[in-house]
Parts: sequence; C-alpha cells; structure tokens
Amino acid sequence: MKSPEIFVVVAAYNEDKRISKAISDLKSHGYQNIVVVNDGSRDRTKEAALASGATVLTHPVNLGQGAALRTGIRYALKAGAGIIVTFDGDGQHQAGEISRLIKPIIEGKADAALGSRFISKGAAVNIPRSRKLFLKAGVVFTRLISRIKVTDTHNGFRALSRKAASKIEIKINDMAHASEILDEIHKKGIRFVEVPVTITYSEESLSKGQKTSNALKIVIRMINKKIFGG
Amino acid sequence: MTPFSILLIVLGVFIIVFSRLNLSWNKLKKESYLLFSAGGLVMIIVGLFPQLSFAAASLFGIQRGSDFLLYLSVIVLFYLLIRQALKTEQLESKISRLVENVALANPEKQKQKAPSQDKKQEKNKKAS
Repeated sequence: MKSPEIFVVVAAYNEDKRISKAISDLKSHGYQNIVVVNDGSRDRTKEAALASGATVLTHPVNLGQGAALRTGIRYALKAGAGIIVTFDGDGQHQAGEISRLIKPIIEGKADAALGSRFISKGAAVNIPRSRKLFLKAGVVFTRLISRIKVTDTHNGFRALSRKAASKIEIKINDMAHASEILDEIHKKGIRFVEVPVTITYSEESLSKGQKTSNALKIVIRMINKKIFGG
Repeated sequence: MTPFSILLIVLGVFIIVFSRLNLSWNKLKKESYLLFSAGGLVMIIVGLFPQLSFAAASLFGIQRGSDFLLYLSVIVLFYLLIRQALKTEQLESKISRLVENVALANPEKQKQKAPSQDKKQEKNKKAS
C-alpha cells in the first residue's frame, strides 16, 4: 500500500529569524512538502522560507494563526495530502517527533493525533509557571465547553488525516482556533489520540506566542461560537 | 420656544442636509439616508411641537417627554450598534476569504537550479 503523502503546514508571522531553522529541521527529517503560510509578515519571512525550500502562501494582510492554518490546510488538501501536520515556525516543535505523531494515523488507529506536553513522556521545557497555569485552566474550560477529554488544549503540534482535515471547519481566525479544532473533533466524531510531544520555550517564542492575557478573549470567542455558531 | 427645542430643530435640519449631501456624493446608501432623515425629521417635529413627546411619553407610562426621548435614542443607538457590529463581522469574514483565495492562487516556490546549469556555471568560472 502506498504511504500517504505528508504535508507540514507552518503558520508564520514575522518569523524571519527562526523559520529557516524550523524548515531545515523538517527537511533533515525527510519532510519535503512544507507549506509556510506567511500571514502578512512585515519582515523577510517569505524570503527566508523560500530560500529554505518551502512552498510559501502569502496573506497580504495579517489575519491570525487560525486563518493561516485554514489556508495551509486547504492548499495541502488540494495538493493531495494524505496526512497534514501543523507545526510552529518559532522552534517550539521538534521535527523528529512527527514520525511518532503520525504513527496512529498511518496505523489507522485515529484520524487526529494531538500533541500533548502534559501526558507521560511529553515535556514542556522552560515553561513559565503562569503559562502552565493558563494552559491547565484552558484544559478545564475546554472540557466544560467542548466536552472533549484532552490534557493539552492549546498545542499547535497536531496531525490530521485527510478525512479529518476535510471535516474540520476552522472559522475562528485568531488563537482561539485551537479550542475550535478540538470542538470540531468532538462534534464531528473524529477519532483522536493524544501523543506526547516536547514543547521548548525560548525568550523569543514566549514574547511572540500565546499571551496569558488572551485567555479571556478565547473564552469569549468560544462561548460566542457555542451560542451563535460564529 | 425653549433653547432645547431650537437645538433639536437645528440638529434635525443639519442631519437631513448632511445625509442628503452624502447621498448625492455616493458616500451613503439610500437605506441609511432614509434612516437618518427620519431621525432628523423626528427631531424637528419634537422641537416644533414638544407636547407631542409628552403625549408619546404618557402613552408608554413615562412621566417626562425628555425621558421618553432619551430612552428612545438609547434604543435606536443600540440597534444601530448591533447592525454595525454584524456588518463589521460580515466584512471581516469576506476579507478573510478574499485574502485566503489570493494566497491560494499564488503559491510561491523558489526554483531549484538544474544540475546541468550548475556544471555550466562551474565550467565558465574555470574558463575565466
């Protein structure tokens, strides 16, 4: 049986200093179909990604990570992807862990493999206490609102089978898309597993990544989606 | 006529004229023009016949005409706010679709140099 084509989608906003390293890491592990969605960056993210050998899709204006993933997933599906991996461009994720992440999908045990830094063998390196608390609160909130039992709700390292990626509708443009994806997985009965992954925090990724102050925004977004569906 | 009545009339006339001008400059839709003109007209009528607002207030069980006008304007403004928010949401959604379609229509990939080209370049270098 022919193995499914793996596409790695990287949403990037002002990542010119880190994107090349992330792409090289992916390439060194044998991933050739790398799609970088340059989400209206004002720096040289596009040039850096192109020079590193990725396919680049450019949003003329910044829409948010959710919208960037939607664009990347649409492109990958159109290009015939069998498995789509979402991967951060800021060096938080490790390409070496993709093979472990996609294994349950290849074996037909699940259609979505969700990376978790909080289950056994997973790790969150250099995670600040406030961030950990915020993420744990996110888990409780997601269990309440989406009724999906996961240990890590805002982890961008995930793999989706073609079937799952076609079913999941990302409507939220901003960071709240991570909760929305989980909500969609539960709502559409997509088989999922959690896979331990390592998330490495650096000063740069912390300054750019999910802000603890965004929590309220995410909560409002998700409640709004639950009530009005928008 | 009280100073407040005069203020209402002047504001009403200003709103009607301002919205009419914007309509003729194609900066305002006919629907919005009608809405603003109706608001301006109500202001002029209330300014000219303040007793009408008293009558309307008592109809709704409100004691003072000015209170009635205040409640009415809060309701109208709230409606306009919701309408505007919905419109903004719709526009955001349309912009997102447009931006995504633009991105999907223009995938970029750096062309890899053909090996033969590299050899030619090396030869040229050596020759020079």
